[in-house]
Amino acid sequence: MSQCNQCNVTVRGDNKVCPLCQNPLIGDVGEALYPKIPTVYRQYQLIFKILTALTLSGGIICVGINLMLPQSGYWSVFVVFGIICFWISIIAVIKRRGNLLKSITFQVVSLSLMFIALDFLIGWTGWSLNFFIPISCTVAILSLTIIVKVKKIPTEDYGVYLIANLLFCIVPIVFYFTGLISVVLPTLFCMAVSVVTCVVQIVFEGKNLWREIVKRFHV
Amino acid sequence: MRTKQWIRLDNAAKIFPAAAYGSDTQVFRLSCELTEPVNAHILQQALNETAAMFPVYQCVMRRGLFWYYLDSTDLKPVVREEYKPPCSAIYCKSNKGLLYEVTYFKNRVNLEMFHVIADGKGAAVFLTALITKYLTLAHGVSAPSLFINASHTQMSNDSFATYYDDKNHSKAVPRPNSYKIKGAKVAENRLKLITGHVPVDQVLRIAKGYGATITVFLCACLIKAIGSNMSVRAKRKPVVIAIPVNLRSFFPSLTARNFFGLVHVEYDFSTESGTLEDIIQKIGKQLKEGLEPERLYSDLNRFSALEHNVFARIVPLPVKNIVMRTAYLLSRRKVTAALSNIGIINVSFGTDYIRSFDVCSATDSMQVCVCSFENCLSISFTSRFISADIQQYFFRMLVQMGIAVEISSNNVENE
Ligand SMILES: [Zn+2]
Repeated sequence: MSQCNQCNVTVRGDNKVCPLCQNPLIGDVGEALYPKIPTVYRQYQLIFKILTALTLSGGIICVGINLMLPQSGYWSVFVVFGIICFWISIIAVIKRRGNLLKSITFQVVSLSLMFIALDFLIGWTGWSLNFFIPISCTVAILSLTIIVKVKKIPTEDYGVYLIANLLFCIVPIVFYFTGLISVVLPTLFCMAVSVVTCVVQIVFEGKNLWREIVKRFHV
Repeated sequence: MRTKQWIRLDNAAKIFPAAAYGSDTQVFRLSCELTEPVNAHILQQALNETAAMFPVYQCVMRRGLFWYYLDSTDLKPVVREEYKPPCSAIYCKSNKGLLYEVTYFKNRVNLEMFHVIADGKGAAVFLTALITKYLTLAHGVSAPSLFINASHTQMSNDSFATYYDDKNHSKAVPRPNSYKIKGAKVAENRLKLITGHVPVDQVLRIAKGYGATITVFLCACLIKAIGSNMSVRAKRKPVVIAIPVNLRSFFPSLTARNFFGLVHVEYDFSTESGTLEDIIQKIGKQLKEGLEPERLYSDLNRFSALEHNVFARIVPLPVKNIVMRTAYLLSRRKVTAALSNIGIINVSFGTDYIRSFDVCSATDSMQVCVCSFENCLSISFTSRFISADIQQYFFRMLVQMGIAVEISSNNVENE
């Protein structure tokens, strides 16, 4: 129990300064009365800075290269689009608006349909299947992985996120096997990202996942 | 299989889903601090048994075409260690869970509730039942078996509807815009929580000296503290404090849902002297007028009029939400702060193991919640603002009257 000599009150908890007047307290510092819950931004300050730097520089570099090689098509538009979708998802997490898995799936599906329709309308060249869908699936997988980490998703729901991850990776592969895809690189990239994120999650959360599986399927 | 029941939101609750936004989550917290660390396992067991006694709270909120409604559910409440800031949002559009939550931290058990399902009085009955169950389980004694003095239907009764009379409602008296507290706000919609524990007998003695009740006395101190932080220009607007009133003490009801009214008291620093005696006298009179049964009854009827208006009823929910949110924001401009006294909390067993009860509520500016247990009066400020000048003035004022004050805080600025 400590004391503030300015306010003449006793202060409980682990305060070093008085909650009322911010003057230093005298006496023993006690135990914390409330859990420390860091604000999302402060907790992940470094991640946010790295993400901002990466996406911003990545976007600028892609646009730059694209401008230098105009004959390669307007592919950098998709990169910028992906970055915007990515940040929309991240901001939505922090603002706690609704179910993230739903929101991301909705974004990917609606944008994909829109771009397939657009591709079809301006004369089918397949860029929506070749580039847009694998890239947006990759972005979705990355966002999901970060969200699971930032939001501290309980293990009960973890499985759903892993399955979503796999689904986002399977869709481009299905297109690949149906022979609709002529440029393989984005699809391969999407697969690689999915495999890596799954492996990372299993390595770090495998024990909890396994416990969950045992619990749900016990005989 | 039994068919699932559903119920309408009561009349006070209808506004809450639309009003819940940002820091003003319409969630309140009632907590009980024990003299020993909480055992999560026993607490879960106690919660399972208590939840079964209050089927009225075993529900999720869903959106209909015209109104929200409560749908009973088989979801079981799960005890967790405290993991988020006090009074954080509970209802989430896409994740339909129970509308209350029980958490613990060290010696403290917290019950957080979305205001849609209950008011402070209803929650207090639930929490005391939970604590009694917990203590009997933890100490292996057979306490007098817990007895809730109400049937399940009485608990889920919508008392606003029961006492509604369409012939008896008066026009609302238009009130001027009030002074609003300004200042830098705490990050991420968090609330600064400062709780002061003071001895009931000391406060009661001083309040009696002024010829006031505890509620009036504390409200006057709050107004004076707010006044001390107002600029001369700001003093042109009156300070208005909203005081929720438990209608169960005026209209017989055993409901565990919402049943309260609001009385507004105001004080104008530009025309009045601003001494504590004067404030106590003026607002004491206003509160007394507001609590006259005819006045409460006509307010209650006005509250219910919306639901009984056919045109208002057939407006689709999304439009209704916008209208109700606007109405709520407009009404908030006429209130400076709120003071809610849920009164004495009684526990039938285990008072030796209980240190205190506290109550606090989400707000968009500042709210004071008061409750008492044995000789401990708990006064909790929740505030959107980083500055604690009003709280400081308030508690120093009590100290100067010779009251021993013990402060605790969630130290939101360190997070
Ligand atoms: Zn101090």
